[in-house]
Amino acid sequence: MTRLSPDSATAAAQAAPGAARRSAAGAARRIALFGNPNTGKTTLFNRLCGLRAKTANFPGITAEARVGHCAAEARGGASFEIIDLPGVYRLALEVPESRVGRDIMLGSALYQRPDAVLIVVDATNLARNLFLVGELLAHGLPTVVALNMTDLAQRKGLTIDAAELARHIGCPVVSTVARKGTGIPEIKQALNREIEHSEAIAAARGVSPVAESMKAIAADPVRLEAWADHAVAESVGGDAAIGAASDTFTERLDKAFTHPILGLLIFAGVMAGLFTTIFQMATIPMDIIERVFGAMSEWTAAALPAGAINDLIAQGIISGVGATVVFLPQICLLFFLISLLEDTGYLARAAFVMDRIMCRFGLPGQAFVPLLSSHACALPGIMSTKLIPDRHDRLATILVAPFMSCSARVPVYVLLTSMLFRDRPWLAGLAFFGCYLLGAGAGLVSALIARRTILRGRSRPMVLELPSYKMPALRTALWATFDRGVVFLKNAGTIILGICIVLWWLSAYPVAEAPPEAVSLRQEAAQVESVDARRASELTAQAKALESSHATRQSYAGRMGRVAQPLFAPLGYDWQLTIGVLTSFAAREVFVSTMAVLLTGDAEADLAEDPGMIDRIRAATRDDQRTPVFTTATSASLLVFFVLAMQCLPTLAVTRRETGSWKWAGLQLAYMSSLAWVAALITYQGLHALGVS
Amino acid sequence: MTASVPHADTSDAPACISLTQLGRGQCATFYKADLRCEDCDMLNAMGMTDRCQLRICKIGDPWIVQVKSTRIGLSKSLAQRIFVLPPSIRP
Repeated sequence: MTRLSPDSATAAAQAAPGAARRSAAGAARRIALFGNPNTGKTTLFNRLCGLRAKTANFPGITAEARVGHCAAEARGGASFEIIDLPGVYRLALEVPESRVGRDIMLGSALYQRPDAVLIVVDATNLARNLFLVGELLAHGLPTVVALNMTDLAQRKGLTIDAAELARHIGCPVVSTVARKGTGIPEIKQALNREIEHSEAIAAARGVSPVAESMKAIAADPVRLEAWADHAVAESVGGDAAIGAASDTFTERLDKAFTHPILGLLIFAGVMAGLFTTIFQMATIPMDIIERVFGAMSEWTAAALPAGAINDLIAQGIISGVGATVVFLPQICLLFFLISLLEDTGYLARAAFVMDRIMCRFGLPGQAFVPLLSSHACALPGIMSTKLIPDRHDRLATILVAPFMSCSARVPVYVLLTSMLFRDRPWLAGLAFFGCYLLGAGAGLVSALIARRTILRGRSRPMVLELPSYKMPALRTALWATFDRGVVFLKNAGTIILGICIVLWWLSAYPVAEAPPEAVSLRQEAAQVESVDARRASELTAQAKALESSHATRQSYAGRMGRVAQPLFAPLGYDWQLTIGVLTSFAAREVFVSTMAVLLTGDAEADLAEDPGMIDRIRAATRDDQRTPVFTTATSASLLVFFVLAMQCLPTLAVTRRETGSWKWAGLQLAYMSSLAWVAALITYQGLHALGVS
Repeated sequence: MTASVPHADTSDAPACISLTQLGRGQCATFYKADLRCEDCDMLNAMGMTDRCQLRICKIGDPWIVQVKSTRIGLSKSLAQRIFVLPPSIRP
């Protein structure tokens, strides 16, 4: 990820027009891409830059921008570095996106002033879009307007004279249809021309007359509106030129999609379809990724000489990164489908439907999709919070998303509900469902608490522009998917990789000597191998189980478990359960395999394929050889702990990335861990007080 | 209120009514919004400017109004605080 930080230029150089400086250096021209929301700005950016783009993060805010490179149209022409800024209605608004726009235009704060500005305007909604154009023209930078969606405007009966519009507003206007790629070469040519023209004016020590006149107009909203209306009146013709013609098709759809009951049913159907598609379609690529990483790990283990390097690469790096990369298909599918839905115009309507429910918990309607997708995995859930415009709303959603019961919790729920309700599957099922409810409830209540304390302040009232319904653009969805996939993989290859190595090292080192029982079992196996191969195999398996269990106990993680045990004693956990809780800090599902290794010595535990495993774990006892490791009260306490605890380091890494600070990730960890500890304590002690041991 | 509209309260304009009192399909003139400045600014930036014409596309939460070519969805609490001059009263 890139941050839009300053280069080494001085503040004075930043504030000066940058074109001449860059031209001399032969560098790309820096273009700021502005536009109202829903104008097709990002589609145009994708057409200009294609895959030569990367996601950037603005320092201090959660908004993102993409920075891309675009080749020159003619030989010898300058290439462009284009910054796709967040959509804004006006520069003067007191919202983070507008503040970033103002800072960039002034070259203030951490930003560098661009060489030129490209503004995307919606041809079907020209008057309102021109407010932003007027404000930007006042800054005096070379400016080009991309009059986008001209095909839609024509279908609505609007005829726009681009040349006449250009004459009235004082900068070049290029007609474009970004979805089809129309007008892209003309935009590049116009940008080059405007930059050269601006350089000529600067060389003659002149001042742009357009900027001078626009300064006064942009400072007065009434004059700015009159200026925009006048430009539209002079350049746009057709029945719907300025008026508000009705669109019965759109109105019927809006009525259905925002209806209190029908709208909710439609939304439930859409979400059910979305997530069913994700789960069904992601299964095959996820299996393939698992197999590929498994094969890579085995191949590496066999190819390299035995030792620490072998273990690090095969078990630490490949297995650890594979365990995270396996979620890539889910993430890509989620963003692909959400992008398609967003492009249709439906999501803006759905936000209103969910807002009625979510606003009771201090969250906006847009928070529903991220929270729902967190039930699959918190990583895509947190990444999809970019749909939420308000920073406080977005932060609150990110903070509570890990409360939603993700698929990694399922093996833990299976183990613990089976411990609690043996031979009573309907009660186990009820408890399973209760876990999902507890997680969702805790998340929503926590969001309410956050909005009334650390994220105090009013949410933006629910006012949204409802874009026209249209067929989604496949290309845009694919670009969005590629972008998010790359961001996720970069994360997996950096922060998550580091975390995997540290946790692997803690659980694998120091390498323990084999226990005497295992040594004698192996000796016995060697003796009987020639006469009874089956018996030898059984003895070797028993030896391996003892060695695995012993190695885990002797590892640094095992030792930490013993040291930390007093902290978990009030919750009813012995040192073995404490090791399970600590090792599952990397990922929740690790709890099951740790318990299997510690209590049965089977490192390949699979609850679905080996039902007897649960019985063996249930039969395991504590150091006194009498008390079961999993009593009823302990199992209930553990279940509550795992519903509420932040046992997922990759999620913390993604929280840091999306919020731009470890502060929020640290808060998330501290809050969820504390809440889980207290709730588990109440559960355990409460059951004890009721006589349930 | 009113970052964009210079009227202090509703008493000086007895004819103005809440947006929620209009029926579907009715047109009116935006008069004022009894909201915080930043909300007024947002409405203004979305096209709901001083004395602009608006048309009610849908009533009930959310209210949907059309201003020029922009369709704006408004939550009930917001729509109740937007005041308009009915079609028969033009400033």
